[in-house]
Amino acid sequence: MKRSILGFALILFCVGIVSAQDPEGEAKEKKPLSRAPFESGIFMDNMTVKTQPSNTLEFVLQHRFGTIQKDFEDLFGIWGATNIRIGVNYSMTDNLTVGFGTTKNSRYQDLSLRYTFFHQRDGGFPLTIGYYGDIALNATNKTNFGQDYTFINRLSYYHELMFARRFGRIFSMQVSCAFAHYNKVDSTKKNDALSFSAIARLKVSPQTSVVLSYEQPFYLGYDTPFILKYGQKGMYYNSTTSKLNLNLGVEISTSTHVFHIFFGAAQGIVPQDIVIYNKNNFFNGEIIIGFNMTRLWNF
Amino acid sequence: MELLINMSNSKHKQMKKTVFYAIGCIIAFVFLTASSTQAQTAKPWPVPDKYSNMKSTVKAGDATALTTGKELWAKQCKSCHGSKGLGDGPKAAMLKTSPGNFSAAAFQKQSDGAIYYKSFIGRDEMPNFEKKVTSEGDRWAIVAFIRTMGK
Repeated sequence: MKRSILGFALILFCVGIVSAQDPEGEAKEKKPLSRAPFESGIFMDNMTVKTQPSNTLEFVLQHRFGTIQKDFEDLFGIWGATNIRIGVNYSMTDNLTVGFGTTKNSRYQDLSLRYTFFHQRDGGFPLTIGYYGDIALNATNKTNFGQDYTFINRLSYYHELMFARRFGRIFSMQVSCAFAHYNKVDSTKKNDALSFSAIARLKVSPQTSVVLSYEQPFYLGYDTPFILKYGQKGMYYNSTTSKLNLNLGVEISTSTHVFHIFFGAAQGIVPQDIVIYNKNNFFNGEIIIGFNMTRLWNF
Repeated sequence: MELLINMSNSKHKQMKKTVFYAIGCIIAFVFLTASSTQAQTAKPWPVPDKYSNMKSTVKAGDATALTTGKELWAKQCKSCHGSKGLGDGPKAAMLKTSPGNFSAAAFQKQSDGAIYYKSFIGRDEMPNFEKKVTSEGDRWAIVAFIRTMGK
């Protein structure tokens, strides 16, 4: 918990530095805004800097099938165990979005917040910088939390700082750094993890794009939980760590909808679940088919 | 027993009445919507001076703006207005109002500002697009692309 607070403070500090260099007030700020690098705040298993215009309601459906390993036995996971999230996001201002969602696996109930600090401008500021954070409540039976159960054992947090750029008409990219914390985890897992991710979009027609994302988690703490004496404290990646996540898919966007259909590794949908609990190794063929759908209403 | 028959008879009558009213309502609805369609095609669309006097920021022959305009047209407008602005997009058939023919001289003789107003402010079935196309440059790029439909 202490580490979580420290992590959060660090992110706020970074944000503070960036805010202090706010170019909003400068004369060069008059440059026109570039077109948004992404169509939606959701990008397969990742988040983006995109916030919708004020008073916009976004309805989100996210669906992940089982792994494709059983071939026709469960039709490449389509008949297998699935994970589903239904959520809504509402844009309070052009830069601030709040959201709520509910997920099938672990019965996560999540509240989220997304804020865009700066926008990329043509011939001006080169990046769009944004923050995404959420708090999720695991609503499964309390027997899942072991002995000494208290309510806060159910909570987990996620903070992500994102830097995106649209390179011309057809290519956009984003890199980000995230911190995830669970108040209570399984004995082989760690409470805290850092993750670095990169996502890219290449438009192939006005409405269709090829999309790619990569996310690498690292646990924070001692690398060997059972041999503390020899373990080294820090950031590490080993057999107990959540597996890296890779997504490859297609995005179709219309005036009010965005669709993603993709191959990926993680079956989790809530981002902290992917960072701390993803057990699927993409390169061992533990691949799942997933899709997202969003619908916008402007008020 | 007689009472029961009487009851069922009165129920039957009531049901008949309900069905009659329902059919009446449907016919009335069909006629009303049909007449409103006729009224709407002829409905004038005044453009406020603030908009009709607006000047496009796109320079003549700006190829980049036309590409942007075409791309945004495909995403935002094509589903109703069709790829060439003939009003024959797949969603047009579901509309009560005709989306119009943008290649017609009558349409093209309007000022850029008037096309801007009708495209982004909208009315009735033509939705407001100010929040879908947020940048002024992008809006004028779409107007510039609509201009190519008359040629």
